[in-house]
Amino acid sequence: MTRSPSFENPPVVEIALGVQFRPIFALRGITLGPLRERWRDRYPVVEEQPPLAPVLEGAVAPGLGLALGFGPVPAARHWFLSSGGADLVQVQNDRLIVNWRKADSSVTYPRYEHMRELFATRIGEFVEFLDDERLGALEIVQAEASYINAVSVEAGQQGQLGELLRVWGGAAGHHLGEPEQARLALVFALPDAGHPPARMHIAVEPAQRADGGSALFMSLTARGAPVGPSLDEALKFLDGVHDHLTRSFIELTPATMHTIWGLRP
Amino acid sequence: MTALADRPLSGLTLRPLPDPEGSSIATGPYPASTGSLESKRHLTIDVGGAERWQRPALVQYVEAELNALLELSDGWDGRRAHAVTIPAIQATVHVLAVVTNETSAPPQLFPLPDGGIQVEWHVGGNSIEIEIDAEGEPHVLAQTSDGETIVEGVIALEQADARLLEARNFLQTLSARLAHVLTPA
Repeated sequence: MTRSPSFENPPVVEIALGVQFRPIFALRGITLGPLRERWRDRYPVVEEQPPLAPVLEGAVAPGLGLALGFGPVPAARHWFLSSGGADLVQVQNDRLIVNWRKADSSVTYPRYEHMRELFATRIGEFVEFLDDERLGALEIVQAEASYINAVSVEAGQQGQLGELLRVWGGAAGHHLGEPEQARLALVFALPDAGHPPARMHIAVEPAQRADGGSALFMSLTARGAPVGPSLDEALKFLDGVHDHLTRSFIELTPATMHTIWGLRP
Repeated sequence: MTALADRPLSGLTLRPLPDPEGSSIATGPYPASTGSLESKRHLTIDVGGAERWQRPALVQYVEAELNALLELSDGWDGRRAHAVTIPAIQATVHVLAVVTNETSAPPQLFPLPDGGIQVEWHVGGNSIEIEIDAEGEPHVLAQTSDGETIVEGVIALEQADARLLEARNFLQTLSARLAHVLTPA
């Protein structure tokens, strides 16, 4: 694995590496008991959350706003949280996602290599659990990597995306001045990743920090179908798209911020 | 509404501020169906990549009502009625996506013996009735309290059907009237 450019102090506040797999309908709250025991030391807190809908990259459908899904009653998504809440594994009957969240400013960003290893370990344990409980085999259909970067801005400045985007032209000359808020979404095809189509979704949006302060979020998500349904193929996919995510972040953000974040080649 | 394709929905736990205007079922174009249609009978309606609990109340209401209809099996009337069909469900969501918005009065939804669905609004003697047959073909009849027919006929789902747009305009009028009635002076 070649090392991508990185930052000494990146503005990353959340990372998620995940897979979607063919639904294992027997995987419900009550059957997760052995997994809960296996992960209890590292993830002592368990929470139930509403399930995530399936999101599969497909042909471009401009303006698609509704999707109907027909299936059994959706099972819950379970969060397995570390004691500080920074590390999280999300499990539902068609997904497993490993998250890291910046719980406070003193926490060090764990780097992709660490997250990849953690993700592979959790998936491996999950597969063992499925085998032990005879719940079914894991057949991965999508893999995805997501990063959220946050930059604090003054209240009322959430329309000035130039803080975070070198490509932002603003609304110069508009008779009402600068917009109060602004959002930007970019979608790139990833022709060299997995089975096409794979895509990278980039969004810059106004957000609020946990302390109530105003911020801009820049989220980057790369998603697609690995070449095969195995964990190895999913990891290959993630390694490939990670480079695109890193390069995109560098290419889209201004050099002044690179200095602040400590870009190293 | 933000399109599904615009939203990563990746399992991230941090969320940006919601769109100022929120999502609206009325602005969504035609729905797409995913998954196995005939063997499993539970419907979910995803709106613009929003988390399930963030969807407009009307969407959640319609989803719950349609899932109740999906639980009916053949003979639900004690006689020879057919279970509600998936094409009828799809067409119902499609029709509601066009005619409703977040301020619309919620419709009443009834099963039909042929496997279709009847969608109705009744406000102060005015009514809109959309009958969707088992094959998913809708027929609309909207009338005022004076008996005047606003719109009547078969709706073509593949295009921006003029009858459907007439029904939407009439529903907005009725919903505004209902909101006025329900708002204390």
